[in-house]
Amino acid sequence: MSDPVSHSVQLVILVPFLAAILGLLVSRNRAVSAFVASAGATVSLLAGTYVLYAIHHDPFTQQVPTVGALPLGRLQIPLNLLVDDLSAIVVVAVAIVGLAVQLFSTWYLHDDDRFGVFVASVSLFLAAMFLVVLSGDLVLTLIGWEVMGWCSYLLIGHNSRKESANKAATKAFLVTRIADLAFVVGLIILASGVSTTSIPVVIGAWPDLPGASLTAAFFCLLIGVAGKSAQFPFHDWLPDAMEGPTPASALIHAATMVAAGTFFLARLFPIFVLSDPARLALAVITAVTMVGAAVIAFGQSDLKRMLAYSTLSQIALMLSALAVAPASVGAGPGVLHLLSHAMFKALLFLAFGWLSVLVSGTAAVKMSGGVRYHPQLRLPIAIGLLALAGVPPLVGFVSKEYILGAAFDNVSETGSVAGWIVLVAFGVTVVLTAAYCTRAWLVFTHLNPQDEATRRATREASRTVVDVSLVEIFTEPAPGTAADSSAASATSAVEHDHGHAGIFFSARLAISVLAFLSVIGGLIIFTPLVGVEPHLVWYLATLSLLLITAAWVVVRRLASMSSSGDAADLLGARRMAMFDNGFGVDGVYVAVVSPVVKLARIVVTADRQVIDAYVRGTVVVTRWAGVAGERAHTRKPSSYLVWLLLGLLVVGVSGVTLW
Amino acid sequence: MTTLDILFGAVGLITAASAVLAVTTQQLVHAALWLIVTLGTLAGCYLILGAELVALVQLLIYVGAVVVLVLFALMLTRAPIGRSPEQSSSAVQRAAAGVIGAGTTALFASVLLPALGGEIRTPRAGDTQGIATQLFGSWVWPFELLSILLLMALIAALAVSRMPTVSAAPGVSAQAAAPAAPPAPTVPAAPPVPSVSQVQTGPTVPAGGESA
Amino acid sequence: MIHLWLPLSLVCILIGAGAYGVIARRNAVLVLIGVELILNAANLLFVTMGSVRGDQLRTGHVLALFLITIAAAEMGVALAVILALFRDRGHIDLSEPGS
Repeated sequence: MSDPVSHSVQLVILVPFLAAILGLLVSRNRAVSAFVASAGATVSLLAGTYVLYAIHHDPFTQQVPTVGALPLGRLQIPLNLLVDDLSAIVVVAVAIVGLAVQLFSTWYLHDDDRFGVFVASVSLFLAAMFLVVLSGDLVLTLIGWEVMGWCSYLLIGHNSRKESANKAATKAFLVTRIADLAFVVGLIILASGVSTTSIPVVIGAWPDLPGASLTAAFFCLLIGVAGKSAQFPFHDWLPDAMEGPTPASALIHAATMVAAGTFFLARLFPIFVLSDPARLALAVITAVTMVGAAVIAFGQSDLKRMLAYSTLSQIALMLSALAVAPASVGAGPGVLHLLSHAMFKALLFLAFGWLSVLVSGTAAVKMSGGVRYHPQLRLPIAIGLLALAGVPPLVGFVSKEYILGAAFDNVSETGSVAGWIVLVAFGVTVVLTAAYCTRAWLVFTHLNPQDEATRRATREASRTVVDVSLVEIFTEPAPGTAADSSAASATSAVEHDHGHAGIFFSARLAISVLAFLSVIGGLIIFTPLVGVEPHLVWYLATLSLLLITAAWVVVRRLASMSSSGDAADLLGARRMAMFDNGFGVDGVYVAVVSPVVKLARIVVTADRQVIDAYVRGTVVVTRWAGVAGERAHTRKPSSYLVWLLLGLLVVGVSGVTLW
Repeated sequence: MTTLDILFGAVGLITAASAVLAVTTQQLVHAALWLIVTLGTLAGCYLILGAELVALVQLLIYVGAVVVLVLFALMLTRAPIGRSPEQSSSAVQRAAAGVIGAGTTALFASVLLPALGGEIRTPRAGDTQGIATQLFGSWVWPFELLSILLLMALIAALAVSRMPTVSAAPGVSAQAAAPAAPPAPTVPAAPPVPSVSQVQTGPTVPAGGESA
Repeated sequence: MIHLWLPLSLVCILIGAGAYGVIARRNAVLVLIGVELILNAANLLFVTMGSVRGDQLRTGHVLALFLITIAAAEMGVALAVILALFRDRGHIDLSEPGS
């Protein structure tokens, strides 16, 4: 009910939007556009934090008007924003990740000539995401949804000189747009049931309406969410979207856009629980995606694509929480995993981006041993992978345990099919997640045989009496020894080798903040911010820890059997290629689409040959008439006289007879 | 049949016959001569109809000047004497001409004869005084315009004859737009107004050897 | 008293003959003869109508006089053109194609 909150909420959306427009105008000036973008994100963060504080200081739910209602007769479109505890915390999380990405981009895209356009697009994207999060009206959600899709297209295709980037951007756009058709139909059903698009009214009034239309609406909405969040069968655009620069992937395809579907379903959770068939469908989709994506992630040869498949898997996880959580538990576990995934996945993407600059590539063979040679990356990557695998006490563990608890509650309370499916898939996914995290870590810390010999020699020659193995893992090698200085100089030589500047302070700060939040973020359950109660099912937690440890051991064993330290090498090159291909889902897309394309070709041919033939025929006829007219010009005056008098005669006769 | 009818019929018959002959004969000079007969008998028709002034003017101008001009033109363009069948156009063209001629006749006949042909009228007596009054009274402006037209025709004829041609020698041409001595032009030049500084009396024969 | 169909039919015949002459003749001067016949047919029509249905302005006769004048002027210019043509090309055969 307080005005500062309304203004802050409007600022949260407006300031990045204005930063985007301003950024486009100043996009040639690198420093100014970087400042504008970072300032926009900072203002949003501050405003969001203020709103969060205000909400929890004095709990309320408020509707904030934007541009006023649309007068449409019987359908009411109030176009309000909705501020409550759910939107406040998600706004803050998105703002943190957004600011981190903007700061990181100033370093990562340092030598990119289209830097200004990039950060402006990121600002626009942030504005759209805030709009979706804060929207209290289905129309505003749709607007933000579509603008996010468009920004995703712009950002994926940022390296527009590369053909593969353009194709990937188009693919992402088309697939999500097709899914969005169903999304719009779902929104229409929801709005028409209660003759208004205001979300609180929708949530309040739909329980009294027939369940079949609610289920139909949610099926359509689920298709849209599956498209945007890259679930099966719409999943194939996300790995290809890794063509975009890493900061874009960090923001969009890890933390925010792909989680927008989760947020929207969490917002509609009170009526979502009423529709069991829709929840069952969501459970099936997410279970398939969870397990399938984790399997494919293990076999990827490009580590950034591995992260993409991992994202697919984690989003499936948070959506499955929404599919099985009983009404008493609410959307809390799903939202919690959304927040934690945002933190550690963004951290991982940014750290991978940093490493990829240092080793100039993202393939596993290139990144092999990367962490050994660039020790300052050790901590961020370690934290990120631990959180992803779900090792306590990091935030990943906390959120996964809550999801597990929700699924278990579902099974124990109702024993529904959805609950069992999710529970089983969850178990498999935990193992697979730990497996590919271990594989990635082992690739990063792999030692070449000659480096191993050097290291052993250094160790033996060193006078420092410490337990080197522990020190090795957690600290950088002590400076001053000959081999280490050569390693350090090799590091610095590699850092500057590709013409890229050394990492800026702001970028390091961004990564450090995300790492910090990934570590302590689990404490959020003790605050009322997310609306979950701090409880833990001990035996399930122990079970998952055991599974993680088992996966670690097995993969370590497999890695030591391969020469490059990459456990996935055991799959063999041909199977790795299949994994890289995503098992040929692209081919399925093409097979579905090709009849349509054929039909389109037939129509084009018909248009050209049949209908245009008449148009072209006029040309031919005119040309013949021209030739005939030219032949009539005999240049003989006597024949001209003939024509003249003949014409006069005809005119005279017609005048006389027709009068 | 009244007397006027019979008179007109006789004279008109000669007119029609000589007109047809004028356009069908294969001797070029004879065509001009038959034209004289046609125009002369036409003046006779006018007399029968009571228009004496018109008849006399017709004789003066048409027969006296225009036909003379035609004969001169035939002479100057080396019209062959005697029969010249090669001067006749192709059969197709003559057939087309026949169609058009018959068509035109039919057209006018179908308009005029049903409208006016059944009437019998008395032509009024020749009224030169009245014509003169009207001519210089109500019709004075067209009259003046016509004099300008004649002047323009004179100038145009001179200009055309002085036009530089591809194979032109600085020759002269003889023209008579009115019964007046034509001034002979000098070196061919563009201006439409000829200089009257060099005046030559009498027509001169153009240099004959321009072209064959 | 004169039956009007006589002068009128003469008009028609003259026009027909003139039209035939314009088209059937190759020599330009003979074409002009055909044109003259047409003009004279019109003149006859004017005079006929002026004689039998004369009005205050003596339109028929006056216009006949004008027509004679115009025809004379036109003949002058036309023959000048024909002579220029003859100078240029050496012949005035209208069924030869122009340059």
